[in-house]
Amino acid sequence: MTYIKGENLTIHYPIFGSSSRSFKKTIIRAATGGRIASDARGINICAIDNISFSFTEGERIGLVGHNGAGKSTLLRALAGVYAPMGGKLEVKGKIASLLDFSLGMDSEFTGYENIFMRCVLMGIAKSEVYKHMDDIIEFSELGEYIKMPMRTYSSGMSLRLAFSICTTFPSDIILMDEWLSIGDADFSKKAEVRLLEFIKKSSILVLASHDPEQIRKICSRVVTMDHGHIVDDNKIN
Amino acid sequence: MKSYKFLNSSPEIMDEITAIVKYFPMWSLLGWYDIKQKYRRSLIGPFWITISSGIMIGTIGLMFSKIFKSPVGEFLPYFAMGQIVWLLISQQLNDACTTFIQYQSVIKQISVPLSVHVFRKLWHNLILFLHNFLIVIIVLIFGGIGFTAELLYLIPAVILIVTLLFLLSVILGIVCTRFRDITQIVSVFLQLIYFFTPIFWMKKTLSSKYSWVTDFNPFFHMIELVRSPLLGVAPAAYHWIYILICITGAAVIAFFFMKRFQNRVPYWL
Repeated sequence: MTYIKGENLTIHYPIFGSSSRSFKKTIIRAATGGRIASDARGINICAIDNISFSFTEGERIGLVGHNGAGKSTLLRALAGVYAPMGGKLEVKGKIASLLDFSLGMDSEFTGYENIFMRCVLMGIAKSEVYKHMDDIIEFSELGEYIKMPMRTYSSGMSLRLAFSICTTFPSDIILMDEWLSIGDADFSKKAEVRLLEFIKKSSILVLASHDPEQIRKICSRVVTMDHGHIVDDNKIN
Repeated sequence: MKSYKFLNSSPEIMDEITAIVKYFPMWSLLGWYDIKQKYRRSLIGPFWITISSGIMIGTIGLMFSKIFKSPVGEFLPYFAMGQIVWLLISQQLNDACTTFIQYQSVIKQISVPLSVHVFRKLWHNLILFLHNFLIVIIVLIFGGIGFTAELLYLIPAVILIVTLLFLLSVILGIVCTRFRDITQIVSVFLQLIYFFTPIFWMKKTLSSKYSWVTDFNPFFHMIELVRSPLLGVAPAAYHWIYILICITGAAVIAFFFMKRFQNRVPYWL
């Protein structure tokens, strides 16, 4: 049973300027008995403010809201990066965090080596990688280029490789920041089909996007965020 | 990327230790790739490390044996073994300060226990240490020490030192991510420690009045633990005891920091 449940979830970031992060300030603060504490404590930004939600199996959630509404922070919290500062968050299921498709890839390495690097970060065993190697290479259309360092690739080629790797191994929960369109028209169509196929195999999708058209096409539920609150939560057909 | 539950709970000590085993494929591959990346397009790759340490040890060893008027046959092996252990210690502790900052792109995207990142860095430095170990082998063969049974002490000695370095790295990594100035303090401190530790000078030349300089210096005990078996001598008991005490102390602090601040580190990046 896959689900995501948040109860009174609150996340605030401390914002350290160069001043409050310094050791000196903390020492001085301790030495002056907190007289200048208001300066040294720094600013907190409340990115997620006491929200409760429940995402269940089969749901395709679209997160909308303007910049800084807390969408990306929520995605990172769901990915397990930001631990809640208040409230609780339960995530059950294997997560594919596609916040950054090319995470961990390095231009000095060959495409082949990059497949291993990207996969190990996704927690995929080497034997699994070997099993799907041909599929990844074939879909990326890199051909012989797979043996070349990635610095020789065009940006489209790198993205194609990253995309192929990320959409190969199915997960229960998929987290995405913006829908992605890559390559030329031909490849773009092919990629869309693969991505939809990949999503179909998952039980929950959380997609943050600015594009209402895209959300309407893919999602079954739209959650609107504003200033760290959920202001609207609608099911769509 | 498993299921998890956040109930404002902090990680348990056992989780941290099992994480290192569980994430072995991750830290071993990435640590190795870090080296590969650095020496890409170079013909002999990480063996440049061996060459540069070899040249440094050779020239300084010869020079100081003349300055201190001690026989080259005695001083050079002593300096070589100590220096190579020191390179591991200082490199790892310096790197530890910036580990989380260096890997922040990963830390901010996926949920992996922090100790895995620390181990990635430690593994990277251990591989470099193994490259330097070539010099040790050359010195063993040509320095007239040979391969003695005492070399077996190396196994527990290296395990203890790696454990201590890991714990210290966890502490430094967390502290330096929060307070960026500490990184600089650590690097200055390590430079000073180098001179206060018997590496290019021998403890016996120190008058007993100043023996506290070495007695209370954990780095001396760390180095001595590895250096003496390499010189064919069993390490004295008090070195083992001192290091075990250091490990216990460091473990308490490291696990406290881990429990308290592990969840905070991504926010500090």
